[in-house]
Order: sequence, then C-alpha cells, then structure tokens
Amino acid sequence: MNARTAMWIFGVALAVSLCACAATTAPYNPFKTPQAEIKNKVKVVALAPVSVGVDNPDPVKAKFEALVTAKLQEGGFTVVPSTEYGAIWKQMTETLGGFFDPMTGKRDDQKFKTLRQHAMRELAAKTNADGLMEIAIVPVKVSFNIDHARWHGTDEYMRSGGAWAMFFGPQTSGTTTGLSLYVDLSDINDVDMYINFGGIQLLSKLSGNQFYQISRQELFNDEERNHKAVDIALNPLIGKAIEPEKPKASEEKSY
Amino acid sequence: MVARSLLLLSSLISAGWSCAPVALPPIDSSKSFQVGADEKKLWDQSEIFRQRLEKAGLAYEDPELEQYLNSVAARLLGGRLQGTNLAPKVKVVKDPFLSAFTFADGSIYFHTGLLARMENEAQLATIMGHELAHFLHRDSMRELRHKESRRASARVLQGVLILTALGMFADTASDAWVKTAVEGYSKEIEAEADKAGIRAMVESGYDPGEVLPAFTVLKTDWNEAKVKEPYFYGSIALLQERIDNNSQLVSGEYQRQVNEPGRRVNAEEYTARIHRLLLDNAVLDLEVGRLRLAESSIAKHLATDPQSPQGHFLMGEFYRRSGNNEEAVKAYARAVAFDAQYADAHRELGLMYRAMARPADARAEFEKYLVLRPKAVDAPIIERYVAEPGPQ
Repeated sequence: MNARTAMWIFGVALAVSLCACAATTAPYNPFKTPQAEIKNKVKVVALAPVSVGVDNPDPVKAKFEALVTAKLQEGGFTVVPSTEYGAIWKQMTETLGGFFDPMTGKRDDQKFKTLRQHAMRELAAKTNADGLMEIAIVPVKVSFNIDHARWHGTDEYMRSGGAWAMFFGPQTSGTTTGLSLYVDLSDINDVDMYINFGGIQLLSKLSGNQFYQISRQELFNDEERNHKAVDIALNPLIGKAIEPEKPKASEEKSY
Repeated sequence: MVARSLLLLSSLISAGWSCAPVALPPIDSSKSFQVGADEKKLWDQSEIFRQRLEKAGLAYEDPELEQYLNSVAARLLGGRLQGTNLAPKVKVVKDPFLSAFTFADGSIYFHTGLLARMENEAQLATIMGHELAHFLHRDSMRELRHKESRRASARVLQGVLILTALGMFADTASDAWVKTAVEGYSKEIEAEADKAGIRAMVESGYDPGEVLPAFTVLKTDWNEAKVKEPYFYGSIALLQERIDNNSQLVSGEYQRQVNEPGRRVNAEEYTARIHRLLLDNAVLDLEVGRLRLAESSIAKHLATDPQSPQGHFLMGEFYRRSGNNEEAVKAYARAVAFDAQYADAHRELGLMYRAMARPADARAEFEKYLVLRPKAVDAPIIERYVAEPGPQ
C-alpha cells in the first residue's frame, strides 16, 4: 500500500467521521406556517405602510409598495393597499391617545398589543383581509470578503469598478452596512406566517481604506436591484424559484 | 512510515474516537462527589440560565406543581443521593414546544408544552427518569470534555493533513468540526439515559407499559405541530430513537412488569396537577397558531372541569381563530353563563356580534365589559363602538 492509497483511506475515514459527528446547518426557512396552510388560509393580503428611515421616504415607500403588490398579485393574492390599514391604525391610535408612556417616553407594550389586535380585527371586518404584510427597509450588518459583500440573497462589490477593482485594487475583508427589504406576513390574529429578507444595496462602501456613505440620491435608483430584493424576499411565498444570479451590466462593463 | 501512521490515524477515527463519550464516575451516594473547576463552570451556567429565565418572565409560577414534580424526581431517585448534599430541582418553563433539559447541577426544566402532552405520572416519570440519568451520569460534563478533546484532536489532525498535502480539506474540516459539532448529547449518551431512566421508573414502582405511550403521544403531536419542533423531544428522528430503544427494553428486560397489578400510573393526580397549566399552555399554542394542539389541551381541561369559564372562553378563542364564528359565540356565551363577571368573554361576544351586524347585542355586551373593566386599555375603543349608530 503506498502513501497515496493510505491518504485516500484516511480522507474517507475522516469524511465518514465528520458526517457522523457534525450536524448540517439548515438554510433559513422563511415559513413560520407551512406554505400549503398559508395558501389555504390567506387569499387577501392587506399591506401595512412601508417603513423606511431615509430622507424623503414617500417615493421609496410608493416604489416598494408597488413592487410588493405586483409580486403578491403574481402569486394569486388579492392585495389591499396600505392606505386602508394606515387609516384604521391612525384612527385607533388617536382613540387610545397613542401608545407611548407619557412619563417614560417608552412604548407601552400592552397598549400597543391591544391596539394592534383591534386594528387587525377592524381591518378584517372592513376589507375581508386574512393576512397583514408589514414591509420595512432596514439597515443590516453585512460581511464582505475580498471586497465582495454578500447578504440576504444578493451581493455587491465594496468599491466602484466592481470585480475589476477587486483584481487590481487593495483587497479587504470586514463588515459594513447594507439595506434589506423585510417582509412579515401574519394572519389576522397576529400569528407569524412568513418572514423574509431580500438584500437591496450597500449603504457604506470603500474608497481606499476608508468607508464612505452612499448618498441619498444613489439609494434605490437601481431598479434591477429593487426588483431583485422583492424577488428574493417574496418568491418563496408565491412558490416561485429565485432567478439564478446574472452578472450585472455595469459589472460586465468593468471586465 | 507515513502510510502506516495515516492508517493508524484513520483506524482510530473509524473506531469511534471522535464520537465516543468520555468516561466519568456517576454521582452516587456511596462515593464522595467533588466538582472540578470545569464542572463548576457548568454549574454556574445553570444559575445564569435560571436568572435569565426569570428576568425574561419565562419561569412558570406554580409552586404546587413544582413541588409535585420534585416529589416525582425524589421517588425516582430513591436513596441514591442520600448524604451527597445534592438534589435535583425541577422547574417549569413557559414554552409550548416539546422540551425537557437538564443542567450539570441537577436543575431540570420541563416546558409547559411537554407537561401538557403527558397523560399520567408514569409517562412523566419516563421523561423525568431520562433527564435524571443525564444529571447522575454527569452527561453535560462528559459531553463538554468530549468536545474539548475533539477540538484538541482537530488541531493535531489539521497539522498532519497540511503536511500531507490535504491542507485545504483540513481547513474546512476543522472549521466544520468545531462550529457544527452535534449539539446536545450523543446517540450513545442518550441510549444510556434511556436505559437508566426506564430502570429508575420500574424500580420506583411505575408501570413500564406507559414508557412507549409517553413517546408516542409526543410523536403523534408532532404531526399536529404547525412548525418544526426545535427541541430534543420534538425531533421526529430522536423521538423514534427513544421509541426504538425503549421498546426493546420494555419487551425484553421489563416485559414482566408491564401492566403488573399495583404498578403506579397515577393519571388522576397528574391531571389535577396540570389542570391550570393546560390552559396556560393552550394560550401559548394559540399565540403561535397551533390551533389543534390548543384545542386538545382545552378539551382535556374541560373534561375534568366542564364548568370552567376560562376553558370555555379559550375554546371560543379556538373556534374564532379557526373561522367558526357560530361555535365561538356559543363558547363565549358558556363562559359568561358560568361566570357573569368574565369581562373578556363579554368583550369578545360584543366584537363577534358587531362583526355579525347585530348592533344591539354587541352594545349590550360592550356595556357589560365597560362596567366590569372601566379602566381597560381598550376601553376608549369599546366606548367608540358603543357610540356607533345602529342600522337606520
């Protein structure tokens, strides 16, 4: 028996041993309720107003609400616009005098929960909605490796110039901040059914060794990225596979 | 030479070096028990966990139930810990998922979800015996030392592999080894606990005929669960392993004791002890949308207390959430029939009638609610509903 054969046996034994001892890490499952049950139970989805923490948020809200609406309709859901739930929520909040503790300034959780329960039941009574989808654009921590950031189903280069810059520029690894689309579908009794994310774009990139913030003007301008974020977040819900990644036009040019 | 060394190493791996549990003397009254420095850390973790649990409001407060659970543990232990200054402490966690777990210091935690599924004390003793075995065998310590030894061995192996040009594999291998090593106890340790657990229950006078039902009840419920159960007693594969191990023991070593006259089952006391817990756990199941499991607990509660207002109220919640409004109204009405002061049931009736376009009935129920609970958080919303104009 030569050293090569012995090494092969050793490798196999090691692999078998690893298989026996190591548990595989399961991929994230966005379904908190089985997909079939959601399909059976939820026909009408009401949208909550999109939450986004940027300057001039209204165009962003409108853009993502339209994209989410189209995606849900593609999946066969009837969609109730966010104005319905927004109006109910506003009226209920006014009736209760808000849900923040006037003494501490903190949210009164009991009041908030009660408010939400009543608002959802009112929504169901008025619109026949059997699900409520909350949508938010949230900042998230993103890891990058050799200048390439990957998060929530998407990726982006840390420097302008894409992969070209990666080959010839300095190469670093670390963490930065990105924006992701968050969707949360709950039934009308506030039971979570589906929670998912779709990465949109980086909020902070590299120039030399310095991080810089992406300006407000550059945020949400890439329609392809916006669409893709919605696909990543909602395709599993509507039973559609996520399109395999294609190189972006701007990155192709870089080569 | 290299070939011979590698072969030796591979034989060691194949022989189970990587998965074999570490030997440690069990806790026993016949020997003095000393806690080592690393074991002391595990004991401290138990205290930290207890404090966090309480801070998070997840500790289930029912002193009588806790006392009862501890008495079952004491019965299973017999005189095993006499003179050791050690005693297990059984506590309950508010969680509808199926789990029971044991810390190194003998703190045993049962989830409300698991207790709600058990049908009698003998079934409880089956799970308790298994968990006590983990404590007595110092399994968390054995597992910790086993993992430490695997980490050390991984580092040695990685060096060998790099030298033998398998470096890239070694990198990912050791990473995976350490990061994704099996959580919880190994198959061998669980099998030992099965064996010791059933022995303890039989020696304490329990009927081993209840061993398999204890696990099959959990397995049946698995099919009802809306989402995958995340814990040990909720994993279908691990449950099947318990069933396989225990059915061998029940049909072999303990066959004579199955259904033997005088063997303890004690369904009556167990049901009485978990009477309140059944409803508290049903609320948790309703909150996560596991309607059938909630219904089953509520029905169990109502079977022993058919006039329970809270039982009927929660049955109303089950029907409402299932979309059966007619039955929901009946159940809420039963709740107020048994307790006219039941404010929540009046409110729910009001909301149901309002949705069913019966404004006069709705108003009557809302008014009762406001009289009973004028300072309720949602009183302003209900007042607005009362003021709504009726049909023209």
